[in-house]
Amino acid sequence: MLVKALVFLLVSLPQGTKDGVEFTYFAPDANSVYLVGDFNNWNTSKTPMKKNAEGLWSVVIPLAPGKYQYKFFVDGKYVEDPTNPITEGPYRNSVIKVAQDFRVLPPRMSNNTPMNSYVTFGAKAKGFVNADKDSTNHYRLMNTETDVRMNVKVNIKDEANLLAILHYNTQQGQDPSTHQIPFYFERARLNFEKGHLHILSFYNMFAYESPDPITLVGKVNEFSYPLGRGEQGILWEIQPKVSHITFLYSNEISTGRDLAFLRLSKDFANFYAGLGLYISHGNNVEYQVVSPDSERINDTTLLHFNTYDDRYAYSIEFGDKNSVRFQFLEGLDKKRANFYDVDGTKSQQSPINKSWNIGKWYKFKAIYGNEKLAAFLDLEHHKFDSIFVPLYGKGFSNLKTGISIKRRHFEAGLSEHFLFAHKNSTKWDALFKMFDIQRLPYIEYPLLGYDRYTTLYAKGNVDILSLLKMRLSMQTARYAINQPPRSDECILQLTLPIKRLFLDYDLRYFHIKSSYLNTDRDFFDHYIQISYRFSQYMIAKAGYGFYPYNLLDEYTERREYLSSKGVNLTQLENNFRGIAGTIEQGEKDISNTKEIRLWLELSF
Amino acid sequence: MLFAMLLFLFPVSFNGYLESEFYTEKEQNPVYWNLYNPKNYIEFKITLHPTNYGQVFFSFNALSNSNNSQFFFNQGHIQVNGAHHSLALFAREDRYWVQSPLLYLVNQDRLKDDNFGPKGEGIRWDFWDTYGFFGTMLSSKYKSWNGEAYIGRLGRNFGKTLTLSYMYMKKDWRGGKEPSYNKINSLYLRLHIFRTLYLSSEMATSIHPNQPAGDTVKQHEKDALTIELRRIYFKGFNISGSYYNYGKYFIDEMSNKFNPGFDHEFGREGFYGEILYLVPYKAINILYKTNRYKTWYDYPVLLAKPFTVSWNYAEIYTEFRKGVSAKIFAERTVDKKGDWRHVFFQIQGENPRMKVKLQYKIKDIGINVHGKDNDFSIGQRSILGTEMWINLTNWLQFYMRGALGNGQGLNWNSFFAQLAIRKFTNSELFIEYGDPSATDADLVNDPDVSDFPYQRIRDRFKILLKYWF
Repeated sequence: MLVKALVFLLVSLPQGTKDGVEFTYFAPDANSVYLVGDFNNWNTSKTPMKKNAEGLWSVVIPLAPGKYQYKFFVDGKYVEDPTNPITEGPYRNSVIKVAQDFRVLPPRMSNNTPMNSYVTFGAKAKGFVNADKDSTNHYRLMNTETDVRMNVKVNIKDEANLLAILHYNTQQGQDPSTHQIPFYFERARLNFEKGHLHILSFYNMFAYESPDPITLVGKVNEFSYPLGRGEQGILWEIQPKVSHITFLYSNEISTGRDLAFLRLSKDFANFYAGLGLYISHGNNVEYQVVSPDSERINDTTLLHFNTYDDRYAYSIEFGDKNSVRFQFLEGLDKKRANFYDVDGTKSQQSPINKSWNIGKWYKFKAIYGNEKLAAFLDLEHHKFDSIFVPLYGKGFSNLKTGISIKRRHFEAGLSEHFLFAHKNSTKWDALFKMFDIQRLPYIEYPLLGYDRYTTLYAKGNVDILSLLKMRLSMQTARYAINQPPRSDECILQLTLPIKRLFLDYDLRYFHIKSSYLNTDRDFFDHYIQISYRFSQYMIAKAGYGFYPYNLLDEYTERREYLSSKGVNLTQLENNFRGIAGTIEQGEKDISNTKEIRLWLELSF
Repeated sequence: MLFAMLLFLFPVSFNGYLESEFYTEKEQNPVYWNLYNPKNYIEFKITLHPTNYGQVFFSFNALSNSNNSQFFFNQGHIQVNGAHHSLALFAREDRYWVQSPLLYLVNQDRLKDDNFGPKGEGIRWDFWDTYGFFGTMLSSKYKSWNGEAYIGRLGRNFGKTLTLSYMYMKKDWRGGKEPSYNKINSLYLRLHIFRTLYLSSEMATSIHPNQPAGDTVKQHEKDALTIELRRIYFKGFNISGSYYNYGKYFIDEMSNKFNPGFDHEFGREGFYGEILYLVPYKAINILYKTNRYKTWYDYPVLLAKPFTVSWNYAEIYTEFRKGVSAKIFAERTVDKKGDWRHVFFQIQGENPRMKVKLQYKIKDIGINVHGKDNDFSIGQRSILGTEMWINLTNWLQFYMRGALGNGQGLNWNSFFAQLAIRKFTNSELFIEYGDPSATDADLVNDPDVSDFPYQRIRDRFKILLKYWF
């Protein structure tokens, strides 16, 4: 008995020998065992196995490198390999991969649903518990939250795959009357790729960003994501040899705007040429927002505007594939943003924009455009980073004149950025803009709403020992010449630096992270967080202080968050133009915020 | 090598439950058979084990004849388990169980934010066997209104002799803009005296905004106390007894027992006793229980003088050969409203093929027999009930139960029959006739059939399919 038990311990996955791959199966009571698999066409008598004295059946067969499915045929019954956890297909056939010299590669699980090898489940689950001081200055449970995003991936053969994401959030989604929390169908994508053909059907999921210099579709700014988010549509790409044909049709879910885009390009020996066609037809959308300068007139002044969005454009592009590109664009933009004041006066904007960027060591980009016509020149130095500050807003026509000089020193992790932008057109587009958000985590807000401004900032990373990492982000100087909408008055504004300091301690499983935001006065925003990593999938965190949201991802949440902390919403809207203002208001309300935050996060 | 790789396999289990129900019922007026909306219910459950000691679970469901047939979040948690502790963040789950063995200070229904399914969301941390200490911390935020609850319990076992624990609980019971807390402090003690003999005591004090203010209320009126001696074993006799004193203003919004909206048992002082005699060498048990207390409340009226309530219960349970058993009990309650006496007989037989149960109960003996003398009862009545299971084959089972009641010139009845088919894996199919709800709580002891003389057999056919995957 003991011998049998020991033999059982010796049973293992198929192993490579000098003559081939050795398969073993432990069955002391069996009368006959055959090896069957796709290497012998599942023939139940072709590959008999031999039994030794301990009851271990084995056979060695030569196999070419590749992936094989197999089973054992034991006394007339198919049995999967008990030592191999990887199975495929509806019959749960065992799977091995064989490399050169009969080496058997360790099994890898391509999916986590043993019943079906084509389906993979994934999820991102977060649970928060927040305790914050209430009006009586006592800690109280505030906004507990559970958030789960579940994704299902289905591989339909090798060419096609489907991804669907379901989402629920107990904080946001609850029905006020029934208190039920719906499970939303959030995003989906069906992708098909074979040879030169690529078809992508998408629902509320990133789909496409056009590679043409002006980026006719798929621009990023604060409230519009790369094309696909908030949209549903289909993309066809055909790439026979050096040509490239792209056709895109997309419908914006919330407004019903339809968009069609066609781009043809061809590569020649040293240059390329392309043609683009862009048509969009949008519904009339009405907005109601707080006027940016309302605080000086009336705190509750709302500005109404409606837009409709018919556009048509064609473009010709050509240039060196890597460094010099030129695009000429002509089009018609029927977008009208009609602004109405509370008294009903109507004002209309007609944008004319010019933009120049110069670079040598630096990136050089120039853009010139007006409502109907635009030209773009792009010269890049290969040594430098190619991130370009989006000087223009949503759509091709709202272009600005500006100079952007950027230097980035990769080794030191330092970057400098000088930006001058001039825009004498639609103020509202400027208001809702983010500037190089990855570089400027906080101080882009002072710029919002300003028509002319100059800013300089520096950012550095210092590693002290290997444990402590310190990052300092500092705005060294900023001045802004502000010309608020509907006013001839200009304001020259100069603020003192805003500094943000991060300290990270990395202690293997534990990670301590703290951040401080320094305004003109004291450090007001500080936060300390300890996280513990249970595994690559699961992290628990506990934090204390004023939780800094990642502005890149969660800008709108930040606004809600500040508002939940008691910052007046109107005040917030007014202070879009400057976090300094937000801080001033928020400081009063937030200075008492000493939130205790505990959460568990899981993703795989 | 294999085991090393297994560590990276991320176990995910995906389960679900499907239920389909079709039923038709003969309506009273006009007389016709009405086919009700078929009900289809589906629930998906997903369990993830990202680490050996972590678990994530969530489920969502949809019901065909509810609004939109949309999928809704059902319940979920993220949990980390250690050898001596567990931490869970949970939403819409029943995770409010806290030990309070004598005073029953915590009832899950009063903490989960809804009677028909929890809606609260919170965090719970338990630890045990940590240097003899054990404890629980629990916070829950209600989602349907702005209330919340907090419970902290810390205790220590001193060997097997003594257990001590302290509990603090706080609940915002009103859910207004400003919190209004009901706070409870309690102490529990359990002492092992000798063999099976234990002395336990639980005492608690309550702070509630609705308690009268000032010196008019004495501290002991806001307290509750129970002292229990459990299991004095003597020549086949098992004797237990307890003394309890619940203050007039001991309000606990986290319990049913001391909750003004539920059992409102505050303002009582009394004694509970229990004697169990196991007849030597016979399968006969004789049980006697008594409860006597004086109460200051004829709820909701607070009386100037208390009145006494007594309850006595005697039972003989016998097991015969070949699976036959019998039970007889008599019960008497004397309170301000009357003298209530009941007797009950049951005989039951069981073998692998079938099980039969016959019950007979006479309730409120002597009440309203000679004219109407008590307004709180319909009067003396007797109920005869039977219940039967027959295993027709190993996958087909017949089940029925029925009851006949009469008294005060009234006759009433209830009947339910079911054919259960368990032929297919992970599924059950039921074909049913009648209404099961009237007799589902121990047949003739169910108040729906013992206290409601207008119960009638309902002509209802139902097909029910349950499927687990």
